[in-house]
Amino acid sequence: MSYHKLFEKQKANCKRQTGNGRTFSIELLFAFCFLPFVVLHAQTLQESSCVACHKLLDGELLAPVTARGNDIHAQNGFGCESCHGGNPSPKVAEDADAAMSRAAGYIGKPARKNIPLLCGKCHSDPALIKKYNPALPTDQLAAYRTSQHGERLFGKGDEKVAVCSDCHGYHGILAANDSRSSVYPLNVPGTCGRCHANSEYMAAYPIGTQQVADYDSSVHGQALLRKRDLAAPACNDCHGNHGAIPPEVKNISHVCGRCHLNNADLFEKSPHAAVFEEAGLAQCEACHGNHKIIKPTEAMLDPAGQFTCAQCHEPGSEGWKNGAGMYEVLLDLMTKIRRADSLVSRAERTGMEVSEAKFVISSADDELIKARTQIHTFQAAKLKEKAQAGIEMATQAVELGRAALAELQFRRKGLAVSMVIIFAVAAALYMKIRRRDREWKEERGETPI
Amino acid sequence: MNSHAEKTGFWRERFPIDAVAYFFKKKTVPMHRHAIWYYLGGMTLFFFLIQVGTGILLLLYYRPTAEAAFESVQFIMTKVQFGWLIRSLHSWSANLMIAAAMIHMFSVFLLKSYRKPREITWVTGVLLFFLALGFGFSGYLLPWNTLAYFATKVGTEIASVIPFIGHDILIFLRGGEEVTGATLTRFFGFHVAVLPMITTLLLGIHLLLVQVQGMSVPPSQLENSAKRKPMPFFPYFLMRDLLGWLVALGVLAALAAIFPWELGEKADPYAPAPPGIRPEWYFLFMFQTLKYIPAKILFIDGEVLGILGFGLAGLIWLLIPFIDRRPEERRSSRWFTAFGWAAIAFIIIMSLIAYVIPQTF
Repeated sequence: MSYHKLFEKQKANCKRQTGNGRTFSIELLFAFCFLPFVVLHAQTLQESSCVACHKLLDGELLAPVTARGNDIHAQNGFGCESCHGGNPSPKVAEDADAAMSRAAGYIGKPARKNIPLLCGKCHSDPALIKKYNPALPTDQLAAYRTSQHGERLFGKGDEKVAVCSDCHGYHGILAANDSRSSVYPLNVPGTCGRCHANSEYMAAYPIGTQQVADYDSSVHGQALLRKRDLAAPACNDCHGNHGAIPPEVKNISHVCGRCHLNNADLFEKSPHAAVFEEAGLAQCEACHGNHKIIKPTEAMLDPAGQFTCAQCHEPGSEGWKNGAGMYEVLLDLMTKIRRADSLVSRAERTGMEVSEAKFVISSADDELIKARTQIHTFQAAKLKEKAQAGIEMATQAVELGRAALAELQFRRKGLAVSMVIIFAVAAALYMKIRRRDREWKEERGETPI
Repeated sequence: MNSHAEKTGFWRERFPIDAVAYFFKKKTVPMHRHAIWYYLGGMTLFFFLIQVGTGILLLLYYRPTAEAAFESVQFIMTKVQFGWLIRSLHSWSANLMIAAAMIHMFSVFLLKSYRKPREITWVTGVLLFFLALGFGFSGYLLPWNTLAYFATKVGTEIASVIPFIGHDILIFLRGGEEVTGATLTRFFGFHVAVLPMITTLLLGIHLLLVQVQGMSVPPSQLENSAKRKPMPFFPYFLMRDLLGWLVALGVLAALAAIFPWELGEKADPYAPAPPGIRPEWYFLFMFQTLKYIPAKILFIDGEVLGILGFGLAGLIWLLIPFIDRRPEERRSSRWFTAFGWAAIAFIIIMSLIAYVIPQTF
């Protein structure tokens, strides 16, 4: 039944219900009955032939209609025909053949290998995209062609690789900054992992499926997925998103250096930069790993522990000694800070005012961070020079902590001496009162109290 | 020897030293089973004198501006020789003074010492107690730390609910719409000039009346006291007073040294109020009561009613000697005694509840 007929039928019902001889205005009731249908009618006029028909269907043929409410394209006025072609006119709503006519450009479900080109039709058009989102780049298709995914799809015809819809979805595509989107930073590892963590799906590719699990336990994964820190990198921040490729050996430090600026800069200027390049070692990755980057600590430089330098440098060699020297400097600074912290905390717990000492400790902590960065010079002497300010601050904080505790002891002793004096005077006064009371009693025969 | 005689002669000719000496020689204190409460007034005076002494020392370094107040107190506590002790003594002694004053006031009330002819002594005493609360409230803000800042904000806001003049009082107290450096300077002025001036005047009258009228004997002890000889003030009572003061000094020194008064974090007017903000203990019962009053009672705002209620209770308390006309007759005065005990129970229970239940202002 068409909506026009439904509307007429409902209008007739309204007339019957109101009857004759009612005390309220028939016109008013009429207007009230009509209102929902006027609205419904107006909506019907806007509905395309696709929606009018698909909303009467079930399952995956109904899904495009229910999903389009959130779809960023639909919100910007793009209808189904923008991707699928066909005639969206409401006039052909009851004529499926006319609506899905090849003559009207209907392509049905796009072939997988054509999806990047289909999306690129609009997303590579700067003039068009500028109208809707001037900040959105238009190089996605070009970047995709350079990616492993694009090269395999277009070069080898491998349709198992990711195309646009695999990451962004279809019918209900959300803006990338929408927290529900599959490409929102917090959701990216899961989205990539749908394929890259699926050993069965990835069996034909020699890259393993551990990446997402490794990332999950890494310092970056912990920050992004546990602490929900959006500043932490997801897969796309290192590999690129549309142009996703593994970073080459030579440009690892450029990738890491986008966030770790100082470390990358120091590394580039260090003796290691040329040696690593010659040996084909992947810069940052050689010491820190890739997906499973754990929080780096001084333990990486501990000659008695997991001494990273020992991976290449023989024990007793110049490089080995240099690494051990850096460890010694950092350990010295850290030990002093810890010592100061312990002394100051102890003094603070007893109620001593230690805000100045705490401020010095906080400054020494900042210096420790700066000193740690200097590890990437790989020169113990330079590290020692930079750590000197921190060592001096930590030493000052230790002195302040000791002074606070010494002051505490002085106060306790002072209190004890005061108490002895007060007690002695009070005792003497008490004896005096007793003596006076005795005299009083002898004189008058009764005690004063 | 001659020189000494000349000197005393010099002063004798100019001051009534002999009359004063005679007065104190003859001054006695009545003896009965409740005589122990006579020491509380002297104890309060002792803490007050410590407040004056330590307060003057703090003034040497304290700077009453929003920019420098916190830092100056921090300087006093860390750099000034024994500065920590002076500040700690000042803070602890303030609390002990209010506690002693409270006990003194309630003991005087329950022993009916306010009855004729000591009405003015009672009125000046109650006013002195209110002034002590004013000292506490104004002094609390002076270190300009977070807790003090927000407690003052809440405290002054309460004054604004008083009908008609509330907003004007708030502006007068804060020196503007908000708690700022202007409030701090103003509170400093109240704390070190206005309140001490009024206190000195009232304390003078209070002490003079106590000396002139002597100690009051409670109606229940009139017979008992008449049978016993009074205790000469000098040296018997004075020595006992001094012993009490020494004990108080010991307690105060121990508290100040073992639990030095914290300074906290510097006030940041733009920061959100931290949890656990509460006023000083002697205001807690009022804050807790205000929380339990419904938002609306009939057509009147609950908070307004609460503030007016406390104001009225304070006024009745002040005028008790003129309301309880026959305190010596136990039968007619027992309602007042019950009122006193109810007030004590109310203050204790409300304060305990406030300490047990976490505070959210």
